Amino acid sequence: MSAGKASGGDFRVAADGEAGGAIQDGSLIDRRRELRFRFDGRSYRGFAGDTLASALLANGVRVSSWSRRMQRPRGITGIGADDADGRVILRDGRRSIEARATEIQLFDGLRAKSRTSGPAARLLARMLYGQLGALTRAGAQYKTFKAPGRISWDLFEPLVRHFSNCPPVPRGNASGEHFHLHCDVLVIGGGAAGVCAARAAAAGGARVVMCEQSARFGGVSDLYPAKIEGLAAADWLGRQCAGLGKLSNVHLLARTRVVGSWGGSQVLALESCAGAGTGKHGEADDNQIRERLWRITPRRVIIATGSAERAFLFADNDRPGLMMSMAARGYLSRFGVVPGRKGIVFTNNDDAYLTAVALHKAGAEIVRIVDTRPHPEGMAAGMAMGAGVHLSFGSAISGIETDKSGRMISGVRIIPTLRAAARGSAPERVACDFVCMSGGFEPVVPELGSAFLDAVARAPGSGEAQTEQPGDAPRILAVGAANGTLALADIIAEASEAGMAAAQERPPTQSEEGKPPGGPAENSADGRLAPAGWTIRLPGGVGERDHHFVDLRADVTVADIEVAVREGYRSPALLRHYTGLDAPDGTLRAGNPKALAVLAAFTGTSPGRSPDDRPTYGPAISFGALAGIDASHAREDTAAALRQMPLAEQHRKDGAILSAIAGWEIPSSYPLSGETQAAASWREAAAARASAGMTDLSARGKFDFSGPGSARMLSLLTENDAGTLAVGDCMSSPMFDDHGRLVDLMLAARLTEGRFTLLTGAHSAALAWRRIRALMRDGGRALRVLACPVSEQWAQFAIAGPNARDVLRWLPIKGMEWDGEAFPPNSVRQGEFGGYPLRIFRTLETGELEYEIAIGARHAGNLWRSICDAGKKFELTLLGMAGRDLMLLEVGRVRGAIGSGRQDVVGLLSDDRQKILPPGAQIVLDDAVGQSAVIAHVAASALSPALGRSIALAAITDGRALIGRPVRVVTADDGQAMAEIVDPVFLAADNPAPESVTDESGPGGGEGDDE
Amino acid sequence: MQRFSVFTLARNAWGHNRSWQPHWRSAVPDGEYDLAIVGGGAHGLATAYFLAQRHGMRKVAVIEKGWIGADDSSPTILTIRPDTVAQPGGEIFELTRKLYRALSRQLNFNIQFSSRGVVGLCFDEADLRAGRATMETARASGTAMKMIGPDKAARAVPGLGRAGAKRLGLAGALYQPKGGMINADAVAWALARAADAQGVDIVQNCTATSLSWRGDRIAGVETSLGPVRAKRVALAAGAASAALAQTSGIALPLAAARLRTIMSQPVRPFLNPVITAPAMNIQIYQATGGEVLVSEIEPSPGPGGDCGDGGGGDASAFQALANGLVKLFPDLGALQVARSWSRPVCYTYDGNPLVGRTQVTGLYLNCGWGAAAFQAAPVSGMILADAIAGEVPHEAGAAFLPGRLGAIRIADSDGQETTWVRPAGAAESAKAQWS
Repeated sequence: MSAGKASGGDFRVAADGEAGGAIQDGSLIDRRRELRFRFDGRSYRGFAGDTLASALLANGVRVSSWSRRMQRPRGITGIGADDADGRVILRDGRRSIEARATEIQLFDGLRAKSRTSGPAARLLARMLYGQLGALTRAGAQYKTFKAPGRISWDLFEPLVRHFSNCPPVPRGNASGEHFHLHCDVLVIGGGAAGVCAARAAAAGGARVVMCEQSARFGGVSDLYPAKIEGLAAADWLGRQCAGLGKLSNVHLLARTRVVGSWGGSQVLALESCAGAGTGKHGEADDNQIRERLWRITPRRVIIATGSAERAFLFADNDRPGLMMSMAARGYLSRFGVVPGRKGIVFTNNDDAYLTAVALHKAGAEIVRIVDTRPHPEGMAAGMAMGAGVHLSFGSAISGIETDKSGRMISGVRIIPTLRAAARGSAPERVACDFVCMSGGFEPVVPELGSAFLDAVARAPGSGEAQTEQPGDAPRILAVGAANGTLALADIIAEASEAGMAAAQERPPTQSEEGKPPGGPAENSADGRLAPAGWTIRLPGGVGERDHHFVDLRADVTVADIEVAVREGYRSPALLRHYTGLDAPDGTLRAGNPKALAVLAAFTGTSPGRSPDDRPTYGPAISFGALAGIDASHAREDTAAALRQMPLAEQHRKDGAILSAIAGWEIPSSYPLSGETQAAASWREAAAARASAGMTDLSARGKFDFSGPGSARMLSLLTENDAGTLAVGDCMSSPMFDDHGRLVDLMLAARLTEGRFTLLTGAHSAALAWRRIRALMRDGGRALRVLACPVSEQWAQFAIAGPNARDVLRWLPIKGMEWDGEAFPPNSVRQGEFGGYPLRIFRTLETGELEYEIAIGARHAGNLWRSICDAGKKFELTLLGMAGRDLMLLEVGRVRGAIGSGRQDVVGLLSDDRQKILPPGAQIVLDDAVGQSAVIAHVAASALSPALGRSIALAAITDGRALIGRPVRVVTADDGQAMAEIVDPVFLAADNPAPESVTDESGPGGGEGDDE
Repeated sequence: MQRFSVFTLARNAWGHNRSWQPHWRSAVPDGEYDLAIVGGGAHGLATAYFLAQRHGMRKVAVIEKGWIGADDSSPTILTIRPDTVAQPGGEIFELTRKLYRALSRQLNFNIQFSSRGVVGLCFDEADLRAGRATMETARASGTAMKMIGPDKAARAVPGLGRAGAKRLGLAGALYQPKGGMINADAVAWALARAADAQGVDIVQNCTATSLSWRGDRIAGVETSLGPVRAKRVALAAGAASAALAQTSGIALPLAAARLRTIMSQPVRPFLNPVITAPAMNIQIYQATGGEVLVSEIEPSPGPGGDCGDGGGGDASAFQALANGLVKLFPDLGALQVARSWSRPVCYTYDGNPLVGRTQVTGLYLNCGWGAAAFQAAPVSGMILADAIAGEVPHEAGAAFLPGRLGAIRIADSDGQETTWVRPAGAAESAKAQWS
């Protein structure tokens, strides 16, 4: 072996090892650029282009992590997303994240460590699952710690949590931009099949999107010696991709993983942006966007996700040094790395012979090829024998032997596959230090869900379900290895036909040699598990079964499945829940097919997939990326998440106490020196009722509507007829939440013939916008309306009190008529202030004479100061939100919902005028027979400045009928008080109560018309 | 029933774990039953178990369309939060919590109830109002619950801290020290095993297709395994109950919705209590295995409803869940999603379930629980069992009587709608009905 000692590790073969051959030794690495990295405290060297996994293998590091439950040493088994348990903890700045060693691109100065809970936990686990292993089979946790007393689950659970070897919580601010794509054909997977399908579809004129989860297209074509049109397959595919990239109707997405659909007709795909995510973690900046979420709406989907190699089941089949055959070939070809010095290849198919020959030629001695087939056909065997490799037909590996630490393979045990031949004879022992295996290929199917299949089956956009006719073209096709086609020529023919058919929206026809592309459901149900029938032959030895791992991630063994099946947990789903099999790790679930085969062997059924079994490929997306860029504003920097009003600085100058209300920082009161907040609110409210008060209501939700359908839109939204609204008029309508509770009164105003605006409270703006969007979606185009949220664009002030009009008269607004007749309640006027447009509403919120003035946010300061100046002679007071809430309470209103939709809001007056009824207290009604019932809770209460006594509100079922009845108000801490149910409008003002104003008051309806 | 203890574990380990018995028989329907229960979830199984255990009624069949406790569309770990007490009948949630604590021993199966406390975050006045009302009701019935200030709440939630509390404008929290989480599968398995030991027939992989009748009396259920004859039928199949009743023209007053959950990869323990944020409609908790679950508290309308945006289906609801987590804990943005579910639930318009007998002779209901299903499962089973056995059940059940929502509508064979007459003052005469 031509090991280059000074060149990135002992297990690296020389660059020119097999020059000229199809398999290149290290096509992805740059041997001139050496990188240093640290793993578990030791420093190593690798090359630019290495992954962490290949660099570790090159340096002879076998153990990359310790398993979660049993804490056994584990190594690298795969080369990409197919790796079983080779996850490491990557140190990235001050953060640690868990990632697959196979997907971490090596960079200079990388620091990583193996995942472990420490030596003490390992010792404990070895005892529990080793010596006491028979006690801790599946289900043991359900059979113990049942007492509610001292030896309880409450006591034991923290220990379980503490000792389980989970990765640390990934800290950091991952977030993603969201983008939308619409296409005719979505190709998932960029291997040979994907590229050919995309090429054919693009040639047919379709808009094509192709997603490939790794950084390069071409899949595993570089691991085969095949040639296309005189070029090596990988090179040919590379050229095709380069050509596709230039087409305007093709969108190629590398490093993009399809993560699912979550219903609807969209496919979500996550792109790790270059230089981040799985890339150069060392350079990652906290604030940069690492991932991009593509929301793709395809008309048709071609699944070309390839296949995964299946592992065998034998004793200690989790030892570091075991690797999938294809992965071993990949490490040699791409990184020039061999997995050991002396190896054994264990297979049931011809593909692994390529690996054996390649490794042998590269200098890693292959001491034996163990083939479960009694008489392999084809050229492969001859080729291997020609290379001088010893073969054992009809044999299988029954177990692995290791050194004492369990971290180094020392040999394997080989037995004949036929039971008759195996009986009586001792297994043959062969020394080696690594094992490559290949148990056949399993199609990989992305998890798209049946809801997605249904949704794609309809024409996107139409919204109507169209049942698919038998002659129609299928909307989803699987091609290539995902469809069970393994030969390259067949794959190309099949994929090209599928691509063409998808572009022309016709069913694919069967080519002469290959089978037709099929739906994903068909190929996943086939019985190609365990072709030679050997992998699932159950080991006979009693102690042996607890080292036959069916799921490396969850540490589930054949023995666990055996107990579960004995206890009646016989379906895949039950097994999964009972044994913890197939623990969610959001990735390729390598344990799944094995578990199903074992289950089938125990239950005597045929191995296959039951309908409730999940496909083998799951989502891998971070919460931050799913949440999107909006959520990333919620950084820990103090109050950044709270929205700021345009005049926040002005309010601070005015001495306001700012508090968080409905996501905004809003002045709640303006206390004088030495004044408490409560006293300040009381003073402000009283002053406003005496003269006038000004409140900054810029946090109000404001939405503008334009277009001929605006009136219709508002009618749908407010459930009032906005069409009858005259220009310059407003109407107020109740807004209910999803539970039917009154949350707010909205004010809809007609500014011009085709232009409306809608005002809501700050707390209900989000709900209103959600409803507007829903209406836009359902009928936006037909409605012909444009809706626009302008909450932050307009600042808005409310001036309330008997002198409000007199204050505003002093403002320099041209041509403005303030008088009652000219500007009645519930109307809107437009004006100009300093050359900037104004909207002036006359509202009825606090029961006082009240105006709201809105101006562009940037010019709000001038207006605010002008009103303050104008108000000086009227003792205009600055009214905080708390004071305004007091005024609202006096007219029977609160911010947000109270009670349920079917309840009436009523008032409560305590017998003791100064006693504030505690919010939340139970309201007990005693009936004539002496029975008492809790009918409601006190919702809000306060001392009213206007009435000089305590008032409270509550929502009571049929509450209006109870007006006048005495009740008891009871709290657990505070004893009880007597009160009387009254009308919720405490302040018998001259103005109509806002509650009753749901239809518009006519222009003639001045103050004091109603009541 | 094979008893479970450390000693049986040891004895079995000695015998190479070869003498474990199935936890329940896979029965086939046989003969006439006193009661056929459609739905082998916690509600149906609890009804069967308590009928047998409290009333000696053992000729009972539980018909489950899949396997017991293997529903992949719901999270394994669910929260137990007695925080819906403010509704009529709300005391059932605290009763259930107490029963869950005792159930592991009673059923000889660890259902893994872990009381880690529940912190309900309040962000505004409306939240505080609801929180205070809940607290007063709970304390009046003796449930430990208190309101804590924003500073204390921030301390109770690691990872939020004072900066987070300020950023979010946290106004306080409703703290329930006794709430926690439970292994939902284990509850179903434990109840199935105990019911089976009492002689109840548990029929798995059997889909009920319609109700069968003798005159206007119910006579059993038609299933995929043939007819199951029974004197009474109880529907406890969640959202599927309404569809089954519909096959006989009976319209139950139920509406369908979906409840969504996202589960993360397992990570080291960092979050002890259950965190709820009613304002954002999410709850966040970390299971024993280390997975962080983020789920909706209240169901929201399914695809095509008024949430979600163009063609996204559930995507925007899931996005809202992720958004909620990242808003509360900006540091957790890099946490990986492992799985997500959207589980169908059904609810009634007044928010309370339908438990008890209906106006149709022989037809009983235990459905319409909405999101609160697991908060009340065993006690609801006990209430229905008492009602079926003709005894006076716990008074909490009065608020759940199906009759309270008016008559059940029935369409006869030629499509004419007739109605069963609503019993006068259903809720008031609950005891009279049952005695």
